[in-house]
Amino acid sequence: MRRIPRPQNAIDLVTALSPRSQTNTWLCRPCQLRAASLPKPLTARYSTSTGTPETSDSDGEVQGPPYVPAQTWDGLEWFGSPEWVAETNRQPFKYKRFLPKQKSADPSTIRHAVQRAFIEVLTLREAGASPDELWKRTESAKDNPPGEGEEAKKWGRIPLTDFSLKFAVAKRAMQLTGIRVSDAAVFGVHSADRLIKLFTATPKPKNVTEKLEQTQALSKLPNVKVSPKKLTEIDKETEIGRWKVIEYELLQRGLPVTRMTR
Amino acid sequence: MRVRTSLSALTFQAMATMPAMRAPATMVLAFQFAGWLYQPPAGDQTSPRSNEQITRPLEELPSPPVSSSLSAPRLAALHARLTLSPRLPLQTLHRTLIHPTADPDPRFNNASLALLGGELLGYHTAEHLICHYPRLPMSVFFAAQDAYIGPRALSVITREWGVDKAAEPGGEVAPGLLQFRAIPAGAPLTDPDAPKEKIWNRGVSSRIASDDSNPRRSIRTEDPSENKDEVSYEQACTSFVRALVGAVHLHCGRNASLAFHRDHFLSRHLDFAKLFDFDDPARDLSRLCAREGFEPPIARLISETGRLSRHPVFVVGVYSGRDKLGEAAGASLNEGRVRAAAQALKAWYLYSPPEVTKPSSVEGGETGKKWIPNYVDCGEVVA
Repeated sequence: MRRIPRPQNAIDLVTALSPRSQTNTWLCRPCQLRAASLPKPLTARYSTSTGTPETSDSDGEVQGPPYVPAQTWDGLEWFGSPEWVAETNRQPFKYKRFLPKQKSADPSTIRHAVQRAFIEVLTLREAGASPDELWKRTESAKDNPPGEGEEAKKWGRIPLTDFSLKFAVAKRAMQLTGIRVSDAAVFGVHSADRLIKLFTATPKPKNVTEKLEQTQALSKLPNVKVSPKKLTEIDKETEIGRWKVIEYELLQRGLPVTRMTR
Repeated sequence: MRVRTSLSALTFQAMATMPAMRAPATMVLAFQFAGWLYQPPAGDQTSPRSNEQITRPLEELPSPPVSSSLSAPRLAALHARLTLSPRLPLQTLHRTLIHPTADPDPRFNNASLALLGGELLGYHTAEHLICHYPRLPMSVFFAAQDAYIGPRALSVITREWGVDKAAEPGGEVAPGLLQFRAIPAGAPLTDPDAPKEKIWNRGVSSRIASDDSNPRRSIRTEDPSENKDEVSYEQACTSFVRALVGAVHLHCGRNASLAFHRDHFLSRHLDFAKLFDFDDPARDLSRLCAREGFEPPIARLISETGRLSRHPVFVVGVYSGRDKLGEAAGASLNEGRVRAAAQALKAWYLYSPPEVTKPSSVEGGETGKKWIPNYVDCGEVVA
């Protein structure tokens, strides 16, 4: 079987954008990561392929005491218990979402978010000006929506051939908009306006009702009513007004109204 | 085992958002209560819950809220099926389907519209019959009117229009269904405990005088369909169709209501010749000839076949002088004579003028037609 070529992990791409790592091109990747003041990436820490023992010498021999497997758990570090939290004075772990809960729905907002992601990533790459400053310079884009005119043409001309840049921009735009876009979809994008289109595209409908609402072929008709759920016998009886009679009679006789549940 | 019961019959989960009802803003002033034993409490008492929206379960309402008619597919379909004018709003169409037994509130039921529509239907139909068949006897006229716009005809029309009935009226019922409180199955149509009223078979003159075509109705009592808690399907259908005619007249005008009447009621085929039932047509015909100054009718055998067989056929013609008034075939000479006389009478009574100007077609001067007086007959032959 042929190996499937796997792109680099996203977090590594972000760290790879830091200027320090770019200067030391002759160092190997783990050494670059170690040299950086940034915390070591998770993937690097747990990866089996790139993990080199820190205690290894240049000639490859391992120094220190020989490895003896533990027989008891004495001496092992315990963590996660309430006592451990009290001892170490730690803040309880708080889950932080990668994507915000709220998805942006307004196309102009999404467009601005993607542009902002571009500017932020490019700023990080250049590391000259702060992202806010750069964003303020392009605030005029809000007055003239980039959906039309010269601005749109300029955005369309930005090439996105650099894979790392494209990936970082996409991830940052996901964080800003809350819209999840698959890596495969990002892979096929080669210009900025295509990326914007990818984010502003209407999401795929989850069920028939959503699909019908999107197409508006039936929802516009006044004599058609699309129900979001399957109509039950109770719905049909309610529609003709008989359900209240049935329910009343069942209650009068002490019989279960809906099906029995254990 | 636990039994899961929904109490929606009593405290229904479905909640309808009613329009915000505000308490009347009446100002309470101190001098109004000067010297009174009762003194109003301190503070503003005018609108204690003005911003509170009152919500009630739909099932508590006697009929669906008017706002629900705008999103009702049945109503929209009915509106389109009857090719009603867009000037007739769905809210009014919804109202025509609510019988007073379902919702006694006159603002939401079809009582007023049905009253207007009933009068219009009667007027337009009577006008059509009198103008097109001026010699029609009154009994046949009443029968024809009943065949066109009687309760049975209107219930058939309702079914043909595709209007279904609701099993029980209520606010949760889908708008577009005919809502009324029906007489339970098997229940007696008349109250058995009520004192029996003498019902007379009324004559035509009495029916004309009381402006009521029903031949079997007590003169003293009122219409039995009024002021009842439960009505039959036929009565509910009648009120619906009448109310719709009234609504079309109110919203779309006289011409639209005339066109609606022509398209939906007069377009129905009615064989007038089958409505006649003569006691003694030969006598009636001779009276008619005497009244009109014709020569007395004489029956003559035109042709015959199988006189001595089991099924003889005699073709008999009734002549007045040299004019043949009618011709019919019979199994005997007498049957042929009677049938021919009946044929002659029908030909007389069913005369229809070739050109007719209805009074309603020139009312208001909108159509640009000129009024040409119609032929008026002196009346039926009194036997």
